[in-house]
Amino acid sequence: MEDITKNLTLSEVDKKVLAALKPPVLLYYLLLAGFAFVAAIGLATWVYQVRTGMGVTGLNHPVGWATYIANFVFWVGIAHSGTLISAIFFLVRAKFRDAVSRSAEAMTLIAIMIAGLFPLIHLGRVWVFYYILPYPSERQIWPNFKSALVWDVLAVFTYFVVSLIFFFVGLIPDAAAERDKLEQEHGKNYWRTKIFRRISLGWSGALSQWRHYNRAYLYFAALATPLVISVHSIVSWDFATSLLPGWHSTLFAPYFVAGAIHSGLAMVILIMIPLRRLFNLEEIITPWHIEMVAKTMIVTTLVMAYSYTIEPFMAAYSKNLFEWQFSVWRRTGWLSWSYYMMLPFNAIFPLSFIFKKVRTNYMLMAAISVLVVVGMWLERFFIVVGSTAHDFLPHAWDSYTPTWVEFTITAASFCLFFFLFLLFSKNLPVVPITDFKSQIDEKRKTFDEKCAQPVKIKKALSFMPGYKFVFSEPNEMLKAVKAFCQAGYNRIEVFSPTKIEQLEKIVKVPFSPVKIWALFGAIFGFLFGLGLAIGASQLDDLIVGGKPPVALIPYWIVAFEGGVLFGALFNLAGLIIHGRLFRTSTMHGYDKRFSKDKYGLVVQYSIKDSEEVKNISESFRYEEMESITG
Amino acid sequence: MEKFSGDRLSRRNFIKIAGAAGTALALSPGCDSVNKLIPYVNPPRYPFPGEWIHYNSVCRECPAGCGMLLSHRDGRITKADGNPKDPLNNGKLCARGQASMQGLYDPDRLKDVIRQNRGMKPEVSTWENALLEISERIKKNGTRVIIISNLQTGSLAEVIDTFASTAGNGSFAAYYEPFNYESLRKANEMLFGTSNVPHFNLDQADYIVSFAADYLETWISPIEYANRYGNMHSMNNGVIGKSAFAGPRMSLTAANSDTYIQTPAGKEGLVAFAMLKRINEKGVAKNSISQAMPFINSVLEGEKIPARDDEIERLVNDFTSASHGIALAGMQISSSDSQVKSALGAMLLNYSMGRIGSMVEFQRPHALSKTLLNDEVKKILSGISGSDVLILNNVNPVYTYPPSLDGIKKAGLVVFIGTQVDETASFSDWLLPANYYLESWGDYEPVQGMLTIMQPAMTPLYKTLSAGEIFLTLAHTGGKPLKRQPDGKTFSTFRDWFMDYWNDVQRQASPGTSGNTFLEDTLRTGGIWNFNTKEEEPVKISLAELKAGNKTPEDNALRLWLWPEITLFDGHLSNRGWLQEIAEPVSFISWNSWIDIHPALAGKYNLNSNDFLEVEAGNVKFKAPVNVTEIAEENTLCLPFGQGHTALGSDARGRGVNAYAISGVNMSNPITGIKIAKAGGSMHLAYMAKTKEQYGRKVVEWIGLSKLRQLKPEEVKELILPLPEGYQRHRDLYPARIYKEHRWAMVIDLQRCIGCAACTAACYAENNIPVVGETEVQKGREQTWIKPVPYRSDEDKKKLGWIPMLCQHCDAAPCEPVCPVFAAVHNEEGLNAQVYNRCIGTRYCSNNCPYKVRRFNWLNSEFKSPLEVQLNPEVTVRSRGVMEKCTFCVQRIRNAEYHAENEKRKLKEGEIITACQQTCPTNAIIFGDLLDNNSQVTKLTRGDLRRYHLLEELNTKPAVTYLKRINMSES
Repeated sequence: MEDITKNLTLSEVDKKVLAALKPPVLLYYLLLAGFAFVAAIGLATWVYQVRTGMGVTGLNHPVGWATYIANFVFWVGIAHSGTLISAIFFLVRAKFRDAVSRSAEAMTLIAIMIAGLFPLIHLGRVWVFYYILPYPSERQIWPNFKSALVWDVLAVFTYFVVSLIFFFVGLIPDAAAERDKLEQEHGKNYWRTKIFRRISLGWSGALSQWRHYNRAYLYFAALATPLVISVHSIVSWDFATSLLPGWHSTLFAPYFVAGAIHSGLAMVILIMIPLRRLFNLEEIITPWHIEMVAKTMIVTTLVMAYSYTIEPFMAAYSKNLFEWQFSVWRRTGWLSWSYYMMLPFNAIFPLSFIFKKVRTNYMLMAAISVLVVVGMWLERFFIVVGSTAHDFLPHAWDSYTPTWVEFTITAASFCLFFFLFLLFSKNLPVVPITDFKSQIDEKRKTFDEKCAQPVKIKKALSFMPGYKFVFSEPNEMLKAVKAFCQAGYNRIEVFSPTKIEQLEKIVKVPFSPVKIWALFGAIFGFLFGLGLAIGASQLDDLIVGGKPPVALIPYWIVAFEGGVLFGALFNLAGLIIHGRLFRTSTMHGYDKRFSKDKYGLVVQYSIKDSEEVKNISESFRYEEMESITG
Repeated sequence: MEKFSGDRLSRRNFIKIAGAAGTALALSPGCDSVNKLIPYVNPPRYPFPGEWIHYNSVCRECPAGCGMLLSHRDGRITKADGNPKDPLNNGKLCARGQASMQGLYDPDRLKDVIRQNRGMKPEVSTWENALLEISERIKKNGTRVIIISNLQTGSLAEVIDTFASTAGNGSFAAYYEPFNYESLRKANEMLFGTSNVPHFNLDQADYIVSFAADYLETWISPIEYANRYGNMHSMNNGVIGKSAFAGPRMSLTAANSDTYIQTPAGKEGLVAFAMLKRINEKGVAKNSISQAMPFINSVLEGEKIPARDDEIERLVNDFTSASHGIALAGMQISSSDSQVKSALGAMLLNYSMGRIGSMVEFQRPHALSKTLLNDEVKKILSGISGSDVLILNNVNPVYTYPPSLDGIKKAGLVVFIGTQVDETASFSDWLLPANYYLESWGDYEPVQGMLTIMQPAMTPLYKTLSAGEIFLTLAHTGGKPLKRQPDGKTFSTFRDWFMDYWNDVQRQASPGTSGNTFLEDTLRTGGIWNFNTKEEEPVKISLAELKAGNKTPEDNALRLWLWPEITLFDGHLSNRGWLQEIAEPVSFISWNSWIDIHPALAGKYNLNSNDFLEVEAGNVKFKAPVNVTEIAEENTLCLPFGQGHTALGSDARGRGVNAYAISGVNMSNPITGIKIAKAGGSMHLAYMAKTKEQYGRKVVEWIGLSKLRQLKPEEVKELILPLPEGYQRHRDLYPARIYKEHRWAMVIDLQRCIGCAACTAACYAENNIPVVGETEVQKGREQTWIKPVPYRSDEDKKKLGWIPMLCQHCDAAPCEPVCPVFAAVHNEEGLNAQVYNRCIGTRYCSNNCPYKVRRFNWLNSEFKSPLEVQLNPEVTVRSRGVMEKCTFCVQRIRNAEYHAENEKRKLKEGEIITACQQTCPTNAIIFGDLLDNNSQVTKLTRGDLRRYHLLEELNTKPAVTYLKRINMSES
């Protein structure tokens, strides 16, 4: 593994990343305006479509779904890599994630918002879209929880909320760094300072916050991981639970998830390559990071190749006339051009990432990533249009050509994506500074001697007098903690710009109740989802497709989404309450340097011990010592 | 509160009291209305608001004259059904009859009296001016009045004839129909000395051979024939009739025939002559035809018979062994020798088997016998001079016989009476708006002795008059009121004339009854069916003097075959959206003209479907897109009548090619000596199906006759029924759905279905289905809830069968669980209900419907005024963005249920008749309750040997059961 921390100090990381937030150049504004313009045209086109009817699209009988649904699946797919990188790679401790996770998460959020637009755009009567939402109303009709489209709504909504929380929680320490930087440079009342003060929720990097934060972040990751896999599985079930040849396939869930990650990673590469150049982040986002993403893509490429191979095999093996004829038609019919494009784009060209030369060549990587993004879009188009256009009864077969309306709205969705991403990149740190600094610090935090008689650390109280020490070396800070601990001090507060997991080895850090919140939330949500589905369907008492009102199998999906959603919400609540993130002011004894590269320690004492503190402080190296009064 | 003083009311108190009293008055419940509805002691006889009432009438969309039953509600009629009491059509109507509603409410109807002296700007005038000016012109010395009317009989014909006879010297009235069956009548003239169109009595027929007579579509009386055909062509106690067809185009009739011999156009008659020769050789004729043998031989001399010997042998065997075989022939419009010969051959065949007089009834001629022959038309037109007043009633010769324009232009005054501004109207001086026949009194006698009656089913929409009224008033204005013979009474209104006419009828038909009761009874029945039938002498036949005429055109010479489409007929119906939008059943194309061309011929000219072909026929040159298909014979190009209008209305105008313009001065058909060339360019024909192939998917199934006869009930696989018993542990995840009262279901007999699309038109009328137009149909967005779809047999590519596709009301409907908002739900009677108000338009249901019968409203549907008046008030009009589909006519089900409940009884079998079932000429559709063990649907669904479900392997448990077609060639 390449050493990514060479030549970088904490303050340099801070400086480099936060420098990207400085006022932009003219080109930026031009790009922003350009994207906004096309997006606005797209909006106007949509208005036209709503007022005239879906007839302005190329849709027909039998092709009821086409470009819009392909776009939906595509954008949900793009949204997948973000959470994959943030959550799954966090859980498996893949270090390269830190350079790209923030952008990937932002990509997730933006993509999921755009994805969410498409089911609305495709509705025949968008003005009553809320019929699909489960809420009590005077109509007394609840949505049909047996429909994959309702699962979609629940899954995409949950995914958006959880991703948003995850993104936001990861942002808190970074926002604090930006807040302190802005306050130093522009003063307390500068408008951006104020905004970042709000966003950072009074984050002080204190031990009493970190210990909850680390727990909560872990649970977010744990909740998001099955969610990532479930969302695209559920999207795939829009198709797989139908009975059309080419859609009705058990392969779909893993196939779609892999495809989603495939396109998402390609999009990450595609965005990272210009981003690191434009924002001077070459030292932060190194070739090694991008190479690791490319390596991951080899895995997804192989899964895609496997799926593509197994599909016709299953059609042949099933001896089902419809499946087999459909499979042949896919390769020979009027839509086959997209098949012969997506196959090499998705499963052959990206395989070249096994060669080091390819995955270190930016131009090649970008080119292949473009092909993958195009190929994955085509794959969705191919799946959506193919099966509807060519199903059971030959007389109903027809073809499909998108109209200018669909082209415009699709183009507008891409422009909206880049527009929002540009907005993000100039307003929020594109690299997770704290995670990155923690990695650099990892090497410097070697001290982990256990305190002989571990005391349980208590919260520092603002009215008690004490001493504040400032360190630049984390090890010295850790030594100081141990020294005070040995001496029986238990009112200790530590401030750190990075995660400090070693502290837990030295002293006894109290148990974080956040995990109870998360567990309770998940169980509550699960039962709530199940209860909602069962209860609502009993109110309606409608039989559809021979399924009785309470059909438990599909209701597990509602329960699952409820569990994840409420687990994440309760987890967040736990973090905010226990980490005291409900205020915007920083904690007692906090110093602006603590969000950058300095470590702080506050030891509180009763008056008689004041001399002793001074004596103990002889045993470690500190930069400053300051007496603070209560 | 202070006390009131005895004698003085303070101002303060006054205001208090006034305020209190006012409030009390305002809040007082004392003036409530009585919340009770008091019923009439004697209910009035006029229509109740919100109640259906029904009027009998006669369909005058074509000369067949089927009895009609009109549904009237709140002052307007919304639906035409067949009159079940009329023995001609037995309660059935074709698509054209159904579309009479669109003729009545045609947005392009002629609404005002218009004066437009030749080429002047048309201006709106008044009835007074028009009648005064026209009658003045008629009164002029030396003026001759020529009345050319569409076919009329009875009281209106009487008025017209009387008008002509009382007008100036040489005046006359003539009845013109573009389809005058010239060739058939010419042949009859030669053989029997009468140019009448006989009544072909198919009631008993068990074998029909047709020589290019499309008797199931457009030929003479198609609904009558289709109805009889349906009975003949289905299994009755193991007996089944057969049919054969020889002709150049695989028409709907040809495709339904058990034997189809494709001949080059003009040569189909040779098959009849080959049969005659063989019959004579075998000596199986009942009436000897040996006298005609010289003629028969001379016809066959030097000709190549377009059929193999074994085919001829088989036709002969079938025809002669049938107990009631009949031969039909003759194009609707043609003076060609080949067509006359073909009719001669057919009539000789009938004669040879002794069918003349029994099945071919010259003693009961068809009303069409009155129409002008081609030569007569030519003569009239060439004789028109400047002193003539030409009155055209409901005819459009400028369109149907373009050379007529020269004659019309010569006339001194041209008066046009009609309902639409057609091509002829544009060259007339006066345009008089006539009532639609559904707004007038009248009668029609399609076949002698069948006197059907018309009554105004609603007040006229506009300030129009009936044609009878116009003639009467015209005569009155001119000072010479018409006198009704024999007693010379005069009448001020046509209604009175009509009543007097019917009094005469009553005196002859049932002398014992009173005039009023008789008329009321007749109106209730729709007509009298055996009026004044006198035993006429049997016609004499002369076989010796027949002449062979010209040889048929060379086999490999290119020729053009003009044929009438089932929907547009002779072209006067072309402005009706329903008829334009319903695809021609064989080519399955709508909204345009096209040329069917054989692939081999198309290959020679490098043509693909949709490419334009330029055709030069005589002095006419035209361009039309081609449909490359084996429907057409190898050297025959087929072009339908009906399009190519330059007037008539927005749906008809500027669309396709007018085939009449090509048939030329001689009105010949087929047309030889044509030149063709690829024109370059192409268009997008509105195909309603991109393919007719089945790809082994068993959509339309055939069963061999012999196999069917040997089949034992236990050998037929049980269907997975849409009933609790259809749910089995090994294939269903969920428990059975229990029905308490009804489980509606349908059985469609594909052997009976001839693909005529009358069901489609009936469904359009009943369920407010919008017409989407050509460009939308091209995009595959037609809204039909039921359409008979043609499929080719996988085994025999020449076999075509239709399958009416409609919602199958599956028990485990794939469309329902996928709907996120419960817009598609199953109701308690098994219907797959679509709740329009709930629908948000995800279109998932349509994607997941394996039968693809759901229809999405892509755009807002347009009902151009006054077409909206036709809308069925019991059916919602759907807005853009919602899905819709067949409901099994749920409004009819509910109506029947309400009535049964009001009368405190159970629903009876057959009480609910869906719109498609009601009109189906061949009774192919049966609707009923699967929970009723005695219902016909139950019996057929459980017991018929030909039963099958479409895509049953998907376990959708459909409620529509199809019965396989019977393959007679496998007997």
